[in-house]
Amino acid sequence: MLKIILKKVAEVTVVMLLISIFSFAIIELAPGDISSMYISADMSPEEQEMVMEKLGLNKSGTERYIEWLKEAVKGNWGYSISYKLPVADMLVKRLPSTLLLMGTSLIVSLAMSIPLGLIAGYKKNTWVDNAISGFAYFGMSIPSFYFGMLMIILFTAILHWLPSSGMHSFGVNTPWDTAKHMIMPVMTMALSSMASKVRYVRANTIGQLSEEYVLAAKAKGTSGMTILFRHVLKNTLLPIITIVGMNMASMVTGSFIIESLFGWPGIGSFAMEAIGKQDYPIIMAYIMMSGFILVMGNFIADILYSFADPRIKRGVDAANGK
Amino acid sequence: MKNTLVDVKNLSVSYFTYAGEVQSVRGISFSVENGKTTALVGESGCGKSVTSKALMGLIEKPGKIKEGSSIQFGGREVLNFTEAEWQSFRGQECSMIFQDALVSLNPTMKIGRQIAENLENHNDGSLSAGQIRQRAIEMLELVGIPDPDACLEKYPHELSGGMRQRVMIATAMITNPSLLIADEPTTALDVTIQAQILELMKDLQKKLGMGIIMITHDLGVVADMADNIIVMYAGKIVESGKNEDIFYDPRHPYTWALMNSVPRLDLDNKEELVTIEGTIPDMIHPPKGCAFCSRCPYAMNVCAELIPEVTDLGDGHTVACWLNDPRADISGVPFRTGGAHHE
Repeated sequence: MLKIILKKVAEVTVVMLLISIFSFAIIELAPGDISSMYISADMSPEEQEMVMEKLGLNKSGTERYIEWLKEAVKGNWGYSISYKLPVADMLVKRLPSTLLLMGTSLIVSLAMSIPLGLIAGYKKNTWVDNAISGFAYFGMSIPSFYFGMLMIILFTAILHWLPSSGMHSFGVNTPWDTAKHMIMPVMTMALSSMASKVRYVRANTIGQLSEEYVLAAKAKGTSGMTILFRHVLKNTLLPIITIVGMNMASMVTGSFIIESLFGWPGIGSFAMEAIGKQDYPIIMAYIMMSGFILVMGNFIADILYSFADPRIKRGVDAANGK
Repeated sequence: MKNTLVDVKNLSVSYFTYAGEVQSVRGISFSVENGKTTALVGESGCGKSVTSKALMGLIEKPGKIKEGSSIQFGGREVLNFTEAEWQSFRGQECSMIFQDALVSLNPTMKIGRQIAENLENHNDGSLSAGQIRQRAIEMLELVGIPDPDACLEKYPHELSGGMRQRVMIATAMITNPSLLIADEPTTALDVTIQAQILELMKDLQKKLGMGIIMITHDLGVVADMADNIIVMYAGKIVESGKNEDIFYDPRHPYTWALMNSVPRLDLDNKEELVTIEGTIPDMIHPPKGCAFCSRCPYAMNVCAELIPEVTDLGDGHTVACWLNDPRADISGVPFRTGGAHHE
């Protein structure tokens, strides 16, 4: 196990370094910088230079990257240029609300897509399957910002049932109030991520049902539904673990679109704002965090996989000379 | 016959595909006796596996058992079973083992669970979980698995091919069914293990007294084991009879060809393995005469035109071949030698 971990750490280091170089370069290549917020045309060149120096923008991109990297390695993510506050603190403050939103939507989408996919696969090519698959196509095709707006129009503007924006009503701080604020963003998120999962589970179920062990289970007198849930379910879920592993990054990074649309005070909308202002310490921290979690998510999925599938566990053990 | 367990009458199974109706089984009749082994022999696609699936009610869309077919099991017509009746029948009265035990076992479920599942399905509440586990251990001992306790906790990939097939047999026999259908149970195994598994099945039959339907393409496998042999070709029974009759007095050119294609150790090893030339006919448009006609070295004009009647040669030995018609010119047809080395 130690060997695997060391190898993984080396891999992750290289990947993170590359991510940081490329993303810093992209920010640099984008026209303009944050100084435009502080510099006006009627300032004298000396004043302008002073502002630039204060912002640290008088140095070249390479110099600033190396400085940033030196500090980042020590765990110091620097100060936001626009807020003048530590980047790490600001991100940590917004983390719980993003975790809440993304975690809930992941759970909702799994809880809906797995049974729907199983049943669609089991009832392949019947009206049940057509209805579920049609719904999945709908969820996949409709852009989430558009679906979100439709929800706002229906539930807020017409029916006045749900609040359209934010996490709390002003001056109210009850779980029920937060839950009401969450319904629409969670449903919007879940719909789009559910669609692909339903199709995955359906395809896997159809594949698994044609396996010989299903026939063997039938020959033991096991009923169709029992075969589906006792035998097929676990084998069908194995590939889903990989998808969930990749989704883990979004658990923490949030969603630009959904958070902005519903005014959710999470990391996604915060990063979106930082990009608008070209506040590079925030952008860099955000990118590094998403990159890291994406890589780790895949790693965690690999480990989960070996727990779920005994055949792979043996492979991993064998690789370690057990 | 007083001791009949299964009586199949005029069984026809067709698969309705886009290309047309594939007539996999075309009106076959046979019976299986209690405690005896009946072998269904024939090459791939002759309908032997479909026949066994029909017995278990496992024909799936687009397959369909046609009107006029009848399968009596212990005096009951199984083709009229409801789904619930099928579920209590499968595994309890009739069990089945498959060719490849690796794919027939669920890769992510422990062996113990898979063996116990059969008994759990047919448990009327009289057995506790502990008793079921005990039964599973007894069965594993019976099929010759060392350390059955540990085996229950293993996954299929942790066992060897022979062990897996033993597990399949233990699973099938835990409910003590009166019929065991074995669909090419030894094809995926190497020769020494094959012999062990066949020995085990004979042994279990002696102890537990179940009837066996053994499906195989290899006459060599059944020579030592089968009481009765049914040779199938293109969805029809071409010859059937007692083991001795089939081996010592085969009457159908297809049976001869099957026998000659069994590799023999007692002949000069430079001799090429005998193969049956040609392929089985298209089962969407079966030939109007004898299906074996195009591959038969002794085919006569009548063979291409008319389907041969089933001739009873006495003592349960039947054959469907025009060569057995008294009007046929059989000079030069090697009835005595069973077709071996006629050149």
